[in-house]
Amino acid sequence: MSTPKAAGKTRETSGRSRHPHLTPYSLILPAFAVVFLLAAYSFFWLIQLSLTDLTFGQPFEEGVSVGLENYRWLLFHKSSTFWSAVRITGLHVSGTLVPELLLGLLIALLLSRKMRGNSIFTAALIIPIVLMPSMVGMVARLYFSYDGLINFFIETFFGAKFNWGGKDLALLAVILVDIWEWTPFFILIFLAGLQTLPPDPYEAALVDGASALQSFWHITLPLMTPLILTALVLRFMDVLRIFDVIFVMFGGGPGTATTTLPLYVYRTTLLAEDVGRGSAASVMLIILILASTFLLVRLRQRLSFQA
Amino acid sequence: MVKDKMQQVTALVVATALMMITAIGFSQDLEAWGQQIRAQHEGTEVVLAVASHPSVEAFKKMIPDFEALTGIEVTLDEMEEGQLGQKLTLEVASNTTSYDAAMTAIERNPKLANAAWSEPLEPWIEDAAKTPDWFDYEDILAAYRDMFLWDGQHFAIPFAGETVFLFYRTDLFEEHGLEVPTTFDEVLEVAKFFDENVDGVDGVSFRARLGWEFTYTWSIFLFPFGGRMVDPATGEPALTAPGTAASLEYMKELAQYAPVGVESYSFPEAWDAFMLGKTAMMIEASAAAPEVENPEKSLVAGKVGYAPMPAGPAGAYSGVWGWGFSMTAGSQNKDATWALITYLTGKALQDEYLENGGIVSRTSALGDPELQAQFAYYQATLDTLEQAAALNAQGLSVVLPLPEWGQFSDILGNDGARAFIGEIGVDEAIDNMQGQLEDLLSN
Repeated sequence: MSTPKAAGKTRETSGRSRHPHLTPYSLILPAFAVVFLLAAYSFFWLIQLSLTDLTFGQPFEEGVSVGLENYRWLLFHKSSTFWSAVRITGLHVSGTLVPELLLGLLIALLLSRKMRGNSIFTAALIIPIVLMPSMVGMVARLYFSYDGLINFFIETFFGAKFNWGGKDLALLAVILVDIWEWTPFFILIFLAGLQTLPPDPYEAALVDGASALQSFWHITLPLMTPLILTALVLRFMDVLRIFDVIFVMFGGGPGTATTTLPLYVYRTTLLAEDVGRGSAASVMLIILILASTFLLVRLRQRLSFQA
Repeated sequence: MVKDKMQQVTALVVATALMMITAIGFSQDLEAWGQQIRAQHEGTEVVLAVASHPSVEAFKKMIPDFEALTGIEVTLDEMEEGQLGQKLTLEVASNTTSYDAAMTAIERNPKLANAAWSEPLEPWIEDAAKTPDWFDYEDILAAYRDMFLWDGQHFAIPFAGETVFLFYRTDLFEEHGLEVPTTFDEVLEVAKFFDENVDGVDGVSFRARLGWEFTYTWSIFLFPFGGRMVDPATGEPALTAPGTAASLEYMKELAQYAPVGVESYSFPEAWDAFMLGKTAMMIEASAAAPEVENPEKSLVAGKVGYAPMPAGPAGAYSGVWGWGFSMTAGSQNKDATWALITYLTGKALQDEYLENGGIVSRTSALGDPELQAQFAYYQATLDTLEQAAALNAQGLSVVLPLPEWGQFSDILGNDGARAFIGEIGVDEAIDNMQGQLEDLLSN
């Protein structure tokens, strides 16, 4: 928004441009071109592919146009497992984001108190985030195997063993790994936020005799809301796209138990070798990410204004 | 009698002498051949795409000698099997060639050959100037050579053929007075026995992970129950044959006596379960046998017997799979690449290859009584090759020679695996698969 004004000033001082109203556009053109080439072009190409019947391995020019047939098949055909992938994605997203957010907030509150060793805890929190996701997946695959470390502890303390690789628990295993890996992300952001909160309202509340819970509910939470929603938006986009850990742990199986939308796109395009349907599923995934991110951003704006 | 003895001794001496002469002959030949190749190709770099595989481990030990002999530099680009397949498919799709040769599975050959990405090898094999005598193509088992047949020509040199057979623990079977199962009903009984009566030992392990791994195992169970992928006469999908459902039901039943989590098993997990002594039997690739007998990796080395595939209501069958080297049509260094392929897969260095854990593919090795005594699984390999031939004689095979096999196999491995874990019913799965396969093949 500030670009036109800045450009206006340039015109007044230099007076070189013959088409002053074009100057701002010419200034953003390089950035726009890069974005267009990198993102928009490939997105349009993806849409084009989603309207063709094309087998992976065929030259791309050989795709036959089939209109919306790929979308129709994915959404309505009885053999399609697209809706199952949508459902599993929903479970995965809500199963990871809600606990991560709550745990993140709780741990950040604990760490924001002045304690010895806080800096060590905070530094240690980075470890899961910087690990390679494929390595996380490999290690998790071993830990969650039937004779793995997780079952060893459960058996030691509760005398039972679970089939984490089975259709009932595989998704939970994936979710637990995500919670372990990404809760620190929330903690770090919230911790930074908590440290910048102004002390005055708390002092006032203390004078008024508010309990710790009350000052959290009426002061901390409203002040933190924009930050919470920002962190949520970032993680939401991320978790919708998660592929590597699930791929390495279970490859989307058993059956379709861990086939989230990204896995579905991968399986359809590269394993079932159906580029058309895979692209169509991919387009729908992108639309889903864009639409829900847009809603979250709007929600963030509204709540921020209220706060 | 004495005369007979004398004759035997003479024969033995002559045979040993002949073998030694051949061996010395080979090494002299190799030396001369190496100098000739060095003169033409010293300093050439050859790049190969390979999958993680026991034979590749053997090649890695042989390649330094090849480099020293010929002056050709070899680079291996090693990746996981599934990724290799996708990488090669992507190369075909984008019409590029980043490799001089690639390790090709039987499943991928039609696609690569059909797109003219790989080079037909007859002109190379038949050219005496390019292919030395010690390579001996005819010595590779015909069943393995023909894995790479497409449109009348061969597109890869096999080095690791495999069949599927029954691995069983001789010590456990003896301890409990059990016979080696010869029918699938007996397999079920024995598996149940171990699962219920022996602590810490499950019945049987196999791979059943969603996708091609499920298809692999299912194709072994399918035909003995009378199931079909396609009608051999018409080539049309024929999953509706009654045996197809029976084979899936059988697998579900058998899975009750497999280790918990078998539905997520890829082959390393299946092999590990058996090698750690957690299962009494394993229905797996013959390629597992060298690992199973390797005391550094396996707790059950020396306690394992190998039997041909048990019979189902429609007969006893096995299948042939395997890997070979295909040369890329777009390679700039074909002569040097071919030299490497002949060196690694030739008869001359077969002993070294086998000692380093390479998978056997040659008649001279499988039929050698001395090696048969050393490697207990050679006999089962030969038996299951016959079982595979019996399947082929009916116009059936575990891998269909189609460029669309990747998709075909994924459809089976997807809905089959879903039925296997009870996500959908067997009949619904078969209905799904039949419909999708009809769509696929009608295009």
